[in-house]
Amino acid sequence: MSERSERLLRALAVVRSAEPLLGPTWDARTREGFVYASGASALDDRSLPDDLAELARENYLEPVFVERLSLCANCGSHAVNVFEACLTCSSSNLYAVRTLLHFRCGYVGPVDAFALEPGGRRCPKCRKLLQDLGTDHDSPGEYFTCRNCNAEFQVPEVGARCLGCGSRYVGVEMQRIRQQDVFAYRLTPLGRAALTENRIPDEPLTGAVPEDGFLVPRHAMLAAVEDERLRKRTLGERFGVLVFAPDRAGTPDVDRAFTQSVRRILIESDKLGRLDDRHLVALLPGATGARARSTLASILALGGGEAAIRGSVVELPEGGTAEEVIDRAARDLGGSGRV
Amino acid sequence: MSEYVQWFGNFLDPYHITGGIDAARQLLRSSSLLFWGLVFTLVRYTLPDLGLWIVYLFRRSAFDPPPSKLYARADPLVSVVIAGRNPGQSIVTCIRSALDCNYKNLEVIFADDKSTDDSVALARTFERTGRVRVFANDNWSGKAVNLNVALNFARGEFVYILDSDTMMFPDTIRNSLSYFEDPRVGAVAQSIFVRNNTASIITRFQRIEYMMTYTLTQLWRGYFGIIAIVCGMGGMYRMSAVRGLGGFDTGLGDDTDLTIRLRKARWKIVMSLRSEISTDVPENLRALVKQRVRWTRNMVKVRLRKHRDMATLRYGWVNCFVFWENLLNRVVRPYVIVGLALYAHLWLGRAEPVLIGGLYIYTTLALFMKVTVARDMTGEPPLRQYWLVPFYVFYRIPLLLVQVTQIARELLRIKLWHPYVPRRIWDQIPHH
Repeated sequence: MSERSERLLRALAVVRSAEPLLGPTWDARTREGFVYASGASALDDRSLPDDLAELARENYLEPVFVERLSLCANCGSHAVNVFEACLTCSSSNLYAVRTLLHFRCGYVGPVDAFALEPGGRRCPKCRKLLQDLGTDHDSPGEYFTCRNCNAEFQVPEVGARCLGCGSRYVGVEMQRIRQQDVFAYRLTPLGRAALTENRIPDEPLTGAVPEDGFLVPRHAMLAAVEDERLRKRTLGERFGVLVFAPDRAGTPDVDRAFTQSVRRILIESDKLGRLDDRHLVALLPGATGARARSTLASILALGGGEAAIRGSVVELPEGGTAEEVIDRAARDLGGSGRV
Repeated sequence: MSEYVQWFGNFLDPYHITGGIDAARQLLRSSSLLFWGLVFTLVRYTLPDLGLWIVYLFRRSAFDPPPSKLYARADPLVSVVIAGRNPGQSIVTCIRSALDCNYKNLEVIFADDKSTDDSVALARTFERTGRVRVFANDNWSGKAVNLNVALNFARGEFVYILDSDTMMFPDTIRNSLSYFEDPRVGAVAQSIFVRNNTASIITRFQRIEYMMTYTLTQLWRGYFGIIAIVCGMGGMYRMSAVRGLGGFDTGLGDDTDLTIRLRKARWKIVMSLRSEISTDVPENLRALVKQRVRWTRNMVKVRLRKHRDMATLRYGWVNCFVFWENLLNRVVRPYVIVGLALYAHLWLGRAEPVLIGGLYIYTTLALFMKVTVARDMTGEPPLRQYWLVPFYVFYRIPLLLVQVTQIARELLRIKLWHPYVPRRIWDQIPHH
């Protein structure tokens, strides 16, 4: 077993020990501001967040969004202190002023301009006493005044100071601040299976089909189908599986062009993979039977109506493995492929 | 109809031409109300423009901004104040025109009256220039309040109040500024052009109307020191004068009200022919009528009611004259015109077939004269718009009816509240 596999299995074990969910523990002592798992030993395991992210990319873990953190663009520290800043001089030395409007005479000014007397505030323009807020006067809003340059404005700039390296960002510079999403993780059936077998393939798996037409390997597709079956059993979520055979499947160039065309028919969450050297398989999570059939019809139409492409929607019964059923469907389409 | 044609033909008869002098002598001894109504109209609406033109022809420099001494050396800070509700894309044009007006030392403040469109976001894109500030009011409060909000933040020695659907031309501020070298000047009225002048036939008529009413009339009124309104579309003020009055009062007619309060505070108000702004006007009759209803009611409410103390000599004889001239011209005259038209039609009827035709010809000739004067002095309206002049009377008839009905409505206090001002504020305003 390679070093990578060992590392990933160790990360899977950490997730299993924290079941049902491995969440971040906020810790200001770390540069990122959080660690996975608790205890001082976690601080030493610098590679754990990256390993968890890799496992999530390969469907061994299901990520659950927890928080979005801001990190300093210079040093990557999470200790970014946010403040409101002056539009003119970028100083954070601001104070808020509330204004009042007197309905009767239309005078608008800061609250302090209305002298406070025993009976209430007095309007400096018409000398009448203000009675009830909302009845004879109200506040048009607040504004900020900069103690540094005396500028007045309603919406200040947002700025930030990194307490790690001292970098200061104001206004457009704030776009340089990096954003990092923090996730909690739970095991998927694939991850659980990997732990049971104590084995993770050295070849990285992939999720959705990338734009270049790359196909998900057979073992990953079958594992993903099993995942969907489990999800259907436990959560009642539907899915569809298509098997199809383009005539010249197996020729790399044809595959790339063809898979790119199929990819345009599929939606983002669908997966497209190779079953063998003659057959392709598509997994449509959440798809109804009707959507599966219409997707298949669209794929078959790529053949130009000369039956150049053959395909079918695979019905998966409760019992048996997905592998047996899908292979049988592929054989029914004609010809047997080489795995 | 044939009678009118015959009557027009008679004018070609030499007898009628030579007999004109005798006729004039007889008319001067006339006791006819109609005749003297015509004489009043001639004096009031034609002679000032003719006089203005003669001055312009022989002493054109009198209409240029006065030479700048003080402000030529150091540009004082000018705050351009804009208040608007749902101006949309036009706020961008408006702010940009202010920033590009060849005057560097200015700040632009936009007070938004709780817009429901993207006006605030559009205006805030200018905030990074450091010369524009935007204040979004938490509540719908009306134009006067939002102008006060903006004035509260303005730091300029002078303030330029601009409508959000209006734009200023280059040098507008600099040309207005030189008038303020006279320390008695509190406000400078502007020449107003119609931006959307080709949008419809209604806007084309307004193009003619604005040049005649808001430029020519303001010019000679400024010469005599009797300007009664610095239009809210655009005008420049001395900040200390506006602050001294506590800004705008709530209620209808913020521009009229501020102008009259400045007059009462003894500030001088002048007109600058070379300070030009361009505004959007109503494009259909419904919107135009709505606007004129508001204007007419403002006039009665502000000029006649709120500032009725100007009728006495308390604020000087010029202000007293302004009050009575306004009463005669803006309140009495519309009723006299409608009354005379009804009298001529119902009582004289077919017995005087020449009457209506004569009045029409007289009015149209006077309009041609005014339009020509306006064109010579301002370049507006263009020659290709002259064909509209014979029809201008028909454009004015519905507006005259609006004036007559709305004056009566306001005087009789029928449905006083106008949705232009929020009810919660309207209920607190003292209604005189």
